[in-house]
Amino acid sequence: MNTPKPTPILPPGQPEERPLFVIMTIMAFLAALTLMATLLGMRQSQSWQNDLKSAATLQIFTKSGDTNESELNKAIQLLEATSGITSIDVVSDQESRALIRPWIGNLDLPTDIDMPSLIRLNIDRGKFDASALAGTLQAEGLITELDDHAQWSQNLSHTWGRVRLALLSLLTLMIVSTIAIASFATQSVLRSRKNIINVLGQVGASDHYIARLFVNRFMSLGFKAAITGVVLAIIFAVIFLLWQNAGTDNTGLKLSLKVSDIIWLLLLAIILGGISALTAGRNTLSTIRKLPRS
Amino acid sequence: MNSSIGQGNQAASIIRLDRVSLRYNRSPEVFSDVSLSLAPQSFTFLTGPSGAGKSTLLKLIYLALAPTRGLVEIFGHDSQAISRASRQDLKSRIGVVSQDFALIPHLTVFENATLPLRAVGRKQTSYETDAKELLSWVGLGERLDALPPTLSGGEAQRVAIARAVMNQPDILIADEPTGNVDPEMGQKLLRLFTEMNRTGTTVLIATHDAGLLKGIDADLLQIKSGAVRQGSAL
Ligand SMILES: Nc1ncnc2c1ncn2[C@@H]1O[C@H](COP(=O)(O)OP(=O)(O)OP(=O)(O)O)[C@@H](O)[C@H]1O
Ligand SMILES: [Mg+2]
Repeated sequence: MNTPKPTPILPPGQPEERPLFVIMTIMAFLAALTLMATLLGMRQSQSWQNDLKSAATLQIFTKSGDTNESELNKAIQLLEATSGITSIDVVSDQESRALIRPWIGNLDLPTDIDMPSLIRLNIDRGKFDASALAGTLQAEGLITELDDHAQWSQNLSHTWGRVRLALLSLLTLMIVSTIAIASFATQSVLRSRKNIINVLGQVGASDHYIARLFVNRFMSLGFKAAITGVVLAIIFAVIFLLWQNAGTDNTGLKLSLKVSDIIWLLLLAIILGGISALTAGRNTLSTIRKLPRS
Repeated sequence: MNSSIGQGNQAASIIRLDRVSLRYNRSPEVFSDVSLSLAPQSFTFLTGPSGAGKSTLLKLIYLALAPTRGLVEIFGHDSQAISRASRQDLKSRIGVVSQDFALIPHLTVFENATLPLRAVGRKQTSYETDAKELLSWVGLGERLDALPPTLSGGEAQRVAIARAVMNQPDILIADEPTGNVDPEMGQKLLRLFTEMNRTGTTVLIATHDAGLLKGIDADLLQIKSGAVRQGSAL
């Protein structure tokens, strides 16, 4: 025999395989993008949550007549005496004006309009008591507003929870579609290979031997499609992220992929490939068991 | 499962049909209430006019068809009562040359002929030499790598025959195995069958080839108008 490797019993490169490969690649691509969006979103929301958890903002409003400066100093003294505050950062007048610029456009506010003084606090949630501090400040006659971002944090966590549910539902839908596609494709190949299956049956091949031929075929097809789809999704994501990050300044969203993301994506490829193989095997077995003897 | 054991005469048959009828879908029965029994190591010719049901009867025996009624017992097992897995085991002990050869078009002559060994997980190195020898003997030594669509009718038939005898089956069933070869090759193939029979294989051959029947001491099954008559050859 000149050929050291025997010809596969199921002929490779059949016409039905190209569209099948394309569809499975697209499913893997979409599933990988969804998974990446989930991972990036999860990380971003976590980091926002952490920022919000450890930050609070105190605004001090000027009482007419008093100098801003003295109230600010009084407030700082009180804050320094309060437990649970790890750092106190007075926002300069200039910076305060810059912060509201996005809301009023590129106008410079007249300098005689009083801006509330802003103090950023880093807090330790475990020890910090927002209402106690508010009480103290009020007792000292300061008009203040303390925002510990609890509402924000809660809103963010609700919103993210819903987005994540939507993303995971999409991912599930894609996995179910992959199962449906693999099973449809197996049926089609089974039909077009009916003669081969009959011959194998006649020479005494077991059901499992026949099923294994299909499992192997769809496993390699499924893995190739899944890896291709995932790699395309990563390339797509990297280009998108470079583009997104290039278009933002420091205050904007900086997103990036991590090694752990790649591991998750590879896991997704393995799952999709495995699902194709498993579906092919189950379908083959159930079909040949129902085949009439003729 | 081994229901025939202890039933005297019947235990001696390797193939037994008891009041078997068969119809395809809604058409009338091809044959009705056929009973027959073949002894182990017997050599039998099945004859009858075209369309009488020879191929159909053989398909029942090599378990490619299920009877509409009645009992088909092979190696003492009721073919309908056993599991799929056991039925596949029985099939691997039956060599079949079907009338249409049933070769797999994209596999080479060598690969088609050795499929019964490959399908039960044997390594190619374990059978390569013997398989090539057998294929040379049936005149296909130069055609090992050829694909079935490029073969002549006689060549394809010999591949089917080589495949049927490849794993030294206990039963050999051949449907018109000499229909496409010249008389000389016909006689040579018949020698292969008698040789296998001599070493213990039960042989059942359907043929209209009167030449094949001559000069051989074989049993005869005649099928005609839905009935089967068991007797001795001329
Ligand atoms: N798959 C099938 N579906 C329906 N009818 C069939 C089928 N196969 C065979 N028949 C019919 O069953 C009858 C017996 O056919 P069979 O092929 O067994 O005859 P045969 O004796 O082998 O003929 P030949 O000598 O021409 O090979 C015929 O009337 C045929 O038309
Ligand atoms: Mg026939």
